[in-house]
Amino acid sequence: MLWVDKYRPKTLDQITVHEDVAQNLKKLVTEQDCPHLLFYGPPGAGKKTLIMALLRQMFGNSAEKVKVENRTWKVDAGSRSIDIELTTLASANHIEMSPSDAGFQDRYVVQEIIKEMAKNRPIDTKGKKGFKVLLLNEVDKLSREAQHSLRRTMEKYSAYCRLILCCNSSSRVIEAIRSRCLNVRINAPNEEQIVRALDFISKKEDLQLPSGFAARIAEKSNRNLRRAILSLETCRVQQYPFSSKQTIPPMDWEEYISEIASDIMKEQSPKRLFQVRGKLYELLINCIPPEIILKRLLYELLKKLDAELKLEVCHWAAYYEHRMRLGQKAIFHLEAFVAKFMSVYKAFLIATFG
Amino acid sequence: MSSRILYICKEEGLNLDSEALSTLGSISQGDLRRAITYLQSAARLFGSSISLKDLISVSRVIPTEVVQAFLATCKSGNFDSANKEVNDFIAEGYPVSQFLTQLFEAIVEADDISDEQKARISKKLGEADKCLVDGADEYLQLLDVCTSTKCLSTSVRGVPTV
Repeated sequence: MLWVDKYRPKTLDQITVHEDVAQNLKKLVTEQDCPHLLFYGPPGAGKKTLIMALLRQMFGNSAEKVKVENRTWKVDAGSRSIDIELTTLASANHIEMSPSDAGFQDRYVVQEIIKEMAKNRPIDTKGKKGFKVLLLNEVDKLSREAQHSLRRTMEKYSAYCRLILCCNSSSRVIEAIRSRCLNVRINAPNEEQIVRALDFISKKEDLQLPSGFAARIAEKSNRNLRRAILSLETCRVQQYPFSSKQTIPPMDWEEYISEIASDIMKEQSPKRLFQVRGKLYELLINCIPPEIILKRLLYELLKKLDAELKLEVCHWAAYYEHRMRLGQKAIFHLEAFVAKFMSVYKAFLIATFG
Repeated sequence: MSSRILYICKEEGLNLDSEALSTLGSISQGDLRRAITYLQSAARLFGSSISLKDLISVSRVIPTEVVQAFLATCKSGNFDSANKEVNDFIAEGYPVSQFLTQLFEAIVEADDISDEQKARISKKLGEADKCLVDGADEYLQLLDVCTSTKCLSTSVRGVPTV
């Protein structure tokens, strides 16, 4: 079992990073009634951990007995009917899913499937909780239409169905949904908190952790706790006992992008652009999301640039990322960014060195 | 509006001081439904005595200090510190679209920026907001706003207008 899962706090009381949020949530649930919730925050901050702990607080141990179900739904879409495949994770009291997995058909998922689930009242033998919980992941990836349909569902079935929504960027969730939920911002843990979590795990695992080492992992993790724990485990596999100077292996795709960045810096020519295209393709087929590639590439390039150029390059990165979102094929826009960068950089070189 | 809020407070037995009441008015931007939602959320989370801070934390509004600190970094003209500020901002999980609105207000009120610069920065903010609505990445857009604000307010070298 990965340490990330092994040491995930199970109850609201065990939560160490967002203690205040956890205590507030606990208060919220003890009052029997619970509004719709919207959790937002960067990845690896602890949204999911909090949600699972909250469910446990609501429903007791039964929230942990989940079964995975992969089902094909037949949905009637006007004149024809389409099949949608969707994986759900369900316990007696809650259902978890990522409706955005259905791609551009997410509207039907929300309209038909979620509605159907929301309609069914939970069978209530002891007469305790009169509602069930629908947990939707990645709501920010849902299309506009789907979000609007979700809003209707929220209103219509609010008597016996509570929605818990989870997303990274709350700017992409429409105002109508945000104003119907209690918004909970989950900030990323700071480095000190990450160090504390790493210390806790190494104590449990009986490891000797040199003091500077945890701090270095925390620094590299970019305030992402999950990543910090994963790299601790990787380091453990690589070399134990730890030495404080041990290198922390970067992700291989990150290394690959840094290679691309130095390729671009070395030569600016159509030929080089063609080579870079091959490498970008390689990253895309390995399912690295294009916006992550662009951001990382920007990060690598910024490290090597003069202050004067940085501003301009940032602007173009933002520009092409936006175009990428509007367009269909990410590779065009990634390549356009690289080409633009090459032209800007070359012009700069010529202007400075003649 | 405040009379209605006070009425609800009385009925529900809530304790709201005058400072919190005026904040509630400004953060909900005159939207009564939103104001009531905030009030209810705060009451659920923090109990019957509600302070200014509680309201801010349930409302997605970004604390003024954060906005001012951000603006100061933008003006300082140091790229790396600006980049770090943007990174921290994203890690804190603040909603960028909300932030742009507040940044806009802060810039309009600022005394040390000329009218022309204000106009240019506002144009930039508008563009970034559109991009966010289209689903663009928050980090990149914020960085773009931040860097161009810096360019424009110190007028070193303008980023080419698209």
